[in-house]
This record gives sequence, structure tokens and C-alpha cells, in this order.
Amino acid sequence: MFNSNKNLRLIDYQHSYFYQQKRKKQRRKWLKFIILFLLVTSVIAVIVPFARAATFNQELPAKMSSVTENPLIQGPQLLFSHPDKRQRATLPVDITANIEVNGLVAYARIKQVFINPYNSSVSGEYQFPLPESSAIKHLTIKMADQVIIGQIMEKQAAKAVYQQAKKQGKKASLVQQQKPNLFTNNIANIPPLSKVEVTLEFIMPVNITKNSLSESVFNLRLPVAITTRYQSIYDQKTFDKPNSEALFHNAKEALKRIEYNSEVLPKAIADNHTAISISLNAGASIRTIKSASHNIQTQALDNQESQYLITLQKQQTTAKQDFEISWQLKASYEPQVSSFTEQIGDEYFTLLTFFPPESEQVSTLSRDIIFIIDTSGSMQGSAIAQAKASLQQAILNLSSEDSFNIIAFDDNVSLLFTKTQMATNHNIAQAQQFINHLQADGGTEMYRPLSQALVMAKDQQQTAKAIRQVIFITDGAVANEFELMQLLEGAQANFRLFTVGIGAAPNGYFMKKAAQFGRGSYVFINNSEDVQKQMTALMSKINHPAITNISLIFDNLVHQETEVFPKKITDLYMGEPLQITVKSKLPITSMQAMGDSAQSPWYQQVIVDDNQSSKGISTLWARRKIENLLDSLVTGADKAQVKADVISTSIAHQTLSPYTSFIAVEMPAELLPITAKNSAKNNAIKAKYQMNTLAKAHENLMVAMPRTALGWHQQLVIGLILMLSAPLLLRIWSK
Amino acid sequence: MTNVTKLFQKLVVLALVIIGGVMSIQASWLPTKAWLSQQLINYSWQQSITAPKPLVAIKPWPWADTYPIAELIFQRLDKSIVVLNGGDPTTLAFSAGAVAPFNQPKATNPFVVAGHRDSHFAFLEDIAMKDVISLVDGQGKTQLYQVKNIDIVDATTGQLPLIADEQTLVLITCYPFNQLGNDSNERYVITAKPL
Repeated sequence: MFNSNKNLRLIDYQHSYFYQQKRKKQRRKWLKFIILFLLVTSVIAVIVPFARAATFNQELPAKMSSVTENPLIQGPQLLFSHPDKRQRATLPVDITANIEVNGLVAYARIKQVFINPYNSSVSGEYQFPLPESSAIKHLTIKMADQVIIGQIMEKQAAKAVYQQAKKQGKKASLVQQQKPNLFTNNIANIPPLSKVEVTLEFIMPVNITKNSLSESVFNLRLPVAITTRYQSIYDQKTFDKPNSEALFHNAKEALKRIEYNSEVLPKAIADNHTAISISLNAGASIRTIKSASHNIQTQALDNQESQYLITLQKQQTTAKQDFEISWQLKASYEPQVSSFTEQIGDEYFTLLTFFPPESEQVSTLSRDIIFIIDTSGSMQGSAIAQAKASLQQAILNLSSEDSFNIIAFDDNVSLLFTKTQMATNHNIAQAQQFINHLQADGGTEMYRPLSQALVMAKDQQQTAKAIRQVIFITDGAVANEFELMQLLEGAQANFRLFTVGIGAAPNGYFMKKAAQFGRGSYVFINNSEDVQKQMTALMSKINHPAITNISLIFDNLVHQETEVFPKKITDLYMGEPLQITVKSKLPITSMQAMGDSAQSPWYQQVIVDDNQSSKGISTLWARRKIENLLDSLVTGADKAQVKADVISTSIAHQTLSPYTSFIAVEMPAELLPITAKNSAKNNAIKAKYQMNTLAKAHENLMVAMPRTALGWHQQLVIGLILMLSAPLLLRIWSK
Repeated sequence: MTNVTKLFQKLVVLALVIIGGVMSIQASWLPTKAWLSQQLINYSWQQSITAPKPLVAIKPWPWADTYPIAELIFQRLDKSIVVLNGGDPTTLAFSAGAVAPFNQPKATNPFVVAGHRDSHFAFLEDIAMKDVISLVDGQGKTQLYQVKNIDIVDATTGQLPLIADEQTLVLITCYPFNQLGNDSNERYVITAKPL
């Protein structure tokens, strides 16, 4: 028994439980080792960049804090140079905003009162976030013994003023815009327990959002408040949380003390008040007026219900939110034209606003569309994929009434058809195949495809009335912009050019200008997810022009010298009102507007009501005039002459241009009477007086930020891990 | 162990080696391409600054869609890079690119240059405030700039606001520098003012 037992043990020795366990353990050890290795590599890969980033943060603490400081500016404020950070910001105790809306232009005059609550005199910085694409017109800062007036001056003159102030030993400071649209101005020596009154005038456009194809909502937003964001950022960082309640308390206390001393101060500014009054002249009958932020009161001023006076309701007068207002027009089946006038000196400015009809049933015009697609090397990667997707989308949106063609170009030009063809199923299928075969390579020669598109023959079946629309899909990476502009400027044919910007960094300037010269519009598609949406929107928009070939006719005997901007009037599209500005020597009382609608010629007699002067219209005209002058450089105008013209227009209408800057000049209180008009003459006088503050507003532009990482580290790490894991696997399996 | 499983194992290992190898080669091809193209770009740049004026765009290779327009020299770091025209992905793969419409070094405009953080602009990490950068334009003129601002900005909108009528040099690259992958929502923006 015993022996046999022993034998058995010897035979089965290798399969015994003990050895099985041992081998398993060995295998596990390898497995553990592999897993550990993989874990360590991946952890290192993840941690190293973080660790680097962390040390980087420690190296530059000052920079990081400046980054977090910037988003605090949400409403107008005065920052005192107080040693205690928490005591710096002060908010206006009183805001009065008067806004005049004329069609799509709003002229705002905002008066704010700040209090220096301290017993010593401090210096401060005034900050005001201007609404998007607004332009500052005038600035006045009034204090006990000084007045700072801001206006537009020629750059050279502004520099001279600045230099002189410096020479006189004054503390001259050139303040710049830190962030786009943040207006800042330094104020020195604010006396203790005193009042600072800031008046700011600016012009801003009314925003239009589309509810549907034809219905649009007009809205306006004023940053006159301390928003909730202002406090929440401070809340996150308790160590420098400003006690805004205490600040208000301080200011109020200070005010009380001032009031004791003088009875001039009105009682009204005892609390944080906002008084807003808007005179809204929409130019057409208004259906609704709403404010999402405040309770408002409206009062109709005329029978057509196109003019309203809007004020705040009494129970809500504190400024805790941006002020927002929106309105909608009554639906109309006919295009409407409204007019506004302004008189500056002995010149008259007229603004015509064309409102498209708001109706769902629209008859469409047949079109003759040519797509030009850029297939040059710069379009490689996601750009060409986006361009192809948008072109496919556009082809699907064609109706059987339309004729079309596709031109693809790099340094060669290839055509789908020799002339435009009707959008039949057969032709569309052919086009789709053509698009699929496009590849991005080679150089960019835009001149030939563009000139070909302008003169290409139409399909015989297409009606003579059909509009030639050119849709240009490109990233705009061109070297010969000027040549192309000249081609578009000089083109005789009646066509519309629409540019579609593709890719991370399209040349926005070129696209915008080309569309302007071609009486069309431009659209940028940054995100490949938006291709379908944006392309459908563009196609349905250009499918329904309400009026095309618009022209204005004045009484030529009376108005011999009129200047109309834009020089090339675009078509009127659904949901997109159109603005035309006219300058004339004599007041215009009536004119005729003509054009073509889908069914019949369109005509309207416009009677201009010149009893009422509307603010901001000359500015709009001047902006366009300056833009036009600068564009004329492209077509070879004399540089010095253009510069002189731009400067004179800019100063006369207080509109910023590349050759002028906005500067603020300090002067004694008795030398106040300066208006926008005679300011140019007064420049010489002013330079003699005390100046120590200069502010400068700049033109701002957005530039695209391309993706700037190749990501090859990641791929390399994954590749190496895969290669390393192969011998390890072999090792495990061979055991 | 059966023959089938052995064969399977061999196949798996082979596949891993091949996939890993291809990935590694492809990954290292990107910086290699970036380096190789630099030689050609430098050559064409030398040609274009010595070329008779008015300047004709000299392409680094015949089928290129871009041409060198300026050279940036970072003396303290002992680095220099030739800037190509355009901010599109193809151009950026070869060298740093000037982004339209600020792609001409002029006295009235900013000049905006973007580059990859893991190839041409990797050294931007070492740039410090007050560093001096010299920019050589197509005419061979040199303008000195001094670093005045280093910002880390959010790039989810893809747009960077700029003061459009001032002479500045703006360098853009992705941030953080040593992060893996190529989708970064932050940009490292260096602003330099003329000296």
C-alpha cells in the first residue's frame, strides 16, 4: 500500500498541485510585470505634461493672476489705485442712458456718476465695455476742478499733443484698449469725497436674429450693469473678494457727507439708480416690444405704431443686469422702405432702410449658379473635405428651375460642363461624381476661374431673367488679392458673388471684400459639423431675393451732388434689412426706389420726413465713405489724396479710421464748449492747455487661430508600446 | 498546445510588430518631414532675399502652395525659423506660417505667426518676457521686437482678438506644450512690440 503510494507520487510529480501553483505563479509574475510596465508608461505619458504645466504655473504667478483679473470687467466701473485690492473697484451710483434707435442704428448717450468714498485724493481708471462693433463718438469726464474731453484727432496731431504734454513735465499716459471693445481711460487726482461724472456717447448696430426664413427679431443690448458673473468670479477666490455691499455702503455714506455740505446734488442719486430712456423709431410698424432683463413701459408716439418711447418701470430701477430689448415688426407682404435724416453743418444725410416682406409664401427666382471650388494644396486635409461636403450640400439644394456648373481650380482649371446646364437628375449625378474625384494639390491661381465664371455662357433652356450667382468656396490663401479685386470691380456682367470661407484660418479680409465688390455676402464655416446647416442657410437665402437690381433715382436738377453708399447696392434678401446712406447738399424730400421682384418690376416713392433729425446717420455714412476711400487704394487711387480725404471725413464726423486716433485731453473747467464739429479748429488752442491724460481707441480685428499641434508624440508612444508588447506576449505564451 | 493556437499567436505578435512599427514610423515621419522641409525652405529664403526686386515668390519646391516671407531669429535661444505664407494645416506641417490677413510684416499691421508646439515652435516654451526677436522681411530689412506679453487664451471659438492698426509681432502655438494628442483648447500667445 505504502509503496504503491510512493510510486504514484513519483510518476505524477510534475502534475502535482504544488508545481501547478508554482508555474501559475511564474506566469502571473510575467503578467504582472507586463501590466506594471504598461501602467507605468501610460502614467508617465499622462503625468509628465501635467507636472511640466504645474511648474510652469509656479514660475509665472503674476501672469496667471493677470489672466484671471480680466474677465471681471462686465459693467462700467472705476478702478481706484487703492493699496487694498478689495477696495479698488467702484460702481456707478447713478446711470442715465438715453438711446435713440433709427431703423438699425442706435445712438447711445450714457451718463454715469461715480463717488470717491475715501478721505484722500486717489487716481483711477475708468473702464467701459463697449457693445460689439460699436464706435465711440464722444467722452467727457467731469470732476471738481478738471474736465477730460475725448475726441478723434489725426494720429500725427495726437502724437504731438502727447509729446508736448510730456515735455511740460506732466504725467502723460497713453492708455490703450486692453481687450477688444474695453474702453479705458486714466483719471488722475480725484479729490476726496467727490463726484466723477462720465458721459460716453457711442453708436452701435441693432442686432438681427432670424426666427425663421422671413421672420426676424431686432435686439439691442447695453452693458450698463454689474452682472452676476462679476461677483461669482470673486466668490471662487475668497482671499480677494471685494465686499460690494460694503463698497456701496461706503459710497452712500460718502454721498451723504457731500450732501450735507452742498444742497446742489439731487437726492435722486442716493441709491444705485439706472434710468433708461429709449426713443425707438423702427421705421415700420412694430408688433411687439419685449425686454428679457427689465420691466419696461412703452408709449406709442405716432399712429403707425412705428415710434415708441421706452422707459423703465418705477419698481425696478437698480442696475443688476445688462439691459436688453427686442422688437418685432408687423408682418408685411410688400417690401417697406423707411427714411431718416440728419443735418450736420450745411450737409444733409439720409438713411434708407429697406425691410424685406415677412411672408412665408415666396415665389422663387430661377438662377444660373456657378460654383468655384478651391482645390489647391493649402486646402489639404479637413478643409477640402469640408469644401466637398458643402458643395454636395449645395447641389442637393438646387431646384429644377436652376442651371449650374462647377469650376475646380488649383494652378489648373477643370470644368464640369463647358457652359451652365439645367439641374436635371442626370447632370446632378454627374456633378456628384465630379466632386468625389476632387483632390487638393498644387498652387492657387484664382484669376482664371473667376474671370471664366463671369463670362460663361448660359444654358439655352434657362430664361434670360435668371441671375448669375457665383459661389466661391475657398480658404482665400492668395497672393494677388488686388488683381482679383480689380477684376471684380471692372466686371461688366450682372452677377452676384458669394464667398464661403473654409478651414481653420481663411483669409477673412479677402472673402469679405470680394463679396462686397460682387454685391453678395460671405459666410465662414469653421466647424465641419456646421457645413450642412450653414450651406443650406446660404442656399435658401440666395434662393429668395425679395428685390434685385435696386436703384435709387433723385431729382437730378436739384440734387446734383449726391454721394450714395454702398456704391454697389446689394439685393434685398428675406430676413435681412438693407441700409443705404446718402449725402446731399440740399435736403432730400422724396426719391424713387426701383428694382425687380420675382413676379414683376418693383417701384416705390419714398417720402422723406425731414422734420425730425436723427442722430448717428452721418456717422454711418462716414464709416462707409472711409471704407470706400480705403478700397479705392486697391484700384490704384493716389495714396496721399486718399489719406487726406480719410482724415478730413474722419474728423468731421468723429469716426475712427486707420489714420486717426481717439484721444482724451484734460483741460480746465472753464474751457468747455467743444462740440464734435468745431473740435478740429480748436485743436491748436487746446494744445496750449494742461494735458496729462491721453486715451487711444483702436480698431480691432479677429484673427483665426489654427490648430498648432501635430500630436506625433502620442502616436509614437502608442506605436512603441505595441512593438514592445509583442516580445512580451511571445514570452508568456512560450512558458 | 495545438498548431492552430501557435499559428494564431505568431500572427498576433506579427500584427502587433507591424502595426506598432507603422505607427512609430508614421509618427516620426512628421518631425522628419518638418526638419527636411526646413532645409529646402531655408535655401529658397536665402534665394529670395538676394533676388532682384521687385520680389517674386520663390517656392521651396515646385509644387508648393506657399513661399517664405520672413525669418524670425531668437538670439538668446540661438534659434531661427523661416516663416511661410498661410496658416493652413499643410503649410504649418512644413514650417511656421503667417496667418492671413496679418501675413505681411508692415509698420501699420500686426504680423501673426502660428506654428506647431511639437515641432517648429517647441522652443517658444523657453521664451521669456523682454526677450528680443528679430524679424527679417522679404527686402532683407531687420526689425527688432521685444516680448511684452505672454498669454494663455481659450481657443474654443478659434478666434483671437487683435488690435489691427498697430505694429506688433504675435506668435501662436498650442498649450500646454508637453500634452499628448493634437486637440488642445488653449493657445500660447506671445505678443512682442517693436524696439
